[in-house]
Amino acid sequence: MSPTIWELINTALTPLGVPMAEGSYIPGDNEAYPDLYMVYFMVSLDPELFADDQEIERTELVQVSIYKRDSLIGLPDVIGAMKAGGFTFSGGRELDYDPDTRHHAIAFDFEYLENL
Amino acid sequence: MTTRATLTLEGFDSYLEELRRDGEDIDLVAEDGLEAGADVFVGGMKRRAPFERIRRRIRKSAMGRDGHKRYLYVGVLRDTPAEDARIANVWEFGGRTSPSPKNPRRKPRPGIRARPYIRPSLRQDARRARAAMEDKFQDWLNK
Repeated sequence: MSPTIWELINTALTPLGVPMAEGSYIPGDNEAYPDLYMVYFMVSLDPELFADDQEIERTELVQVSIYKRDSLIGLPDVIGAMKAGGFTFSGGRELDYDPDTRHHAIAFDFEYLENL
Repeated sequence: MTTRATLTLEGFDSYLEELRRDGEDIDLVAEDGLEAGADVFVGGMKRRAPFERIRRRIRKSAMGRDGHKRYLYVGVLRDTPAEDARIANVWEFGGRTSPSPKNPRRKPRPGIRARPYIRPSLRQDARRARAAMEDKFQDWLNK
């Protein structure tokens, strides 16, 4: 059975050694947010190609957001790690600063073409 | 940050050329087509939006005109009230721990799980939007 998109993202990002979570990062009780962490989720799942009434190719658009306290200088190479994991980088943007936790954030979009 | 997209008429050259040969006002035709395409995206974004406060802020802009170029913006537009725009942005892209900085006594909520509604519509409704635009062009050709 082929790995799910979440397993593929997790595998791609694990070498960076940064705490990460699916959907949203929720620290444990009495724990603070780490200085650096990542969140990933699926944005869109789009069938690309059909043959004999069967879906044979689909694209999954995923977002990886990386949060860093006080500055975005010195971020790990998220794009490089995802590309090494078979994803295609398709854009990015800075997210709102969080004054509660002092985290800055940047979000990257990646596409994955899956042969079914 | 606003959560919006631009709609253009790229890829419709053959239709527009045929309409021009028929003596139609191409600018008017282009505007008609763009409005039809934009309506598809607005509907798709509203259908996917997580709740009413965002849904009611999703709309298309007035027609943009730059010489013969015509364009529209769709989504949560630049002139949206700041708090609604921020909420719409957080639900599209994820992010902050607390959705309301206006209540500093409230304990920050944990990271909000994004529920995108702009990008999925742009990807999944593009064919329908294009078909709606082609229908409009065909209507003009049939007149």
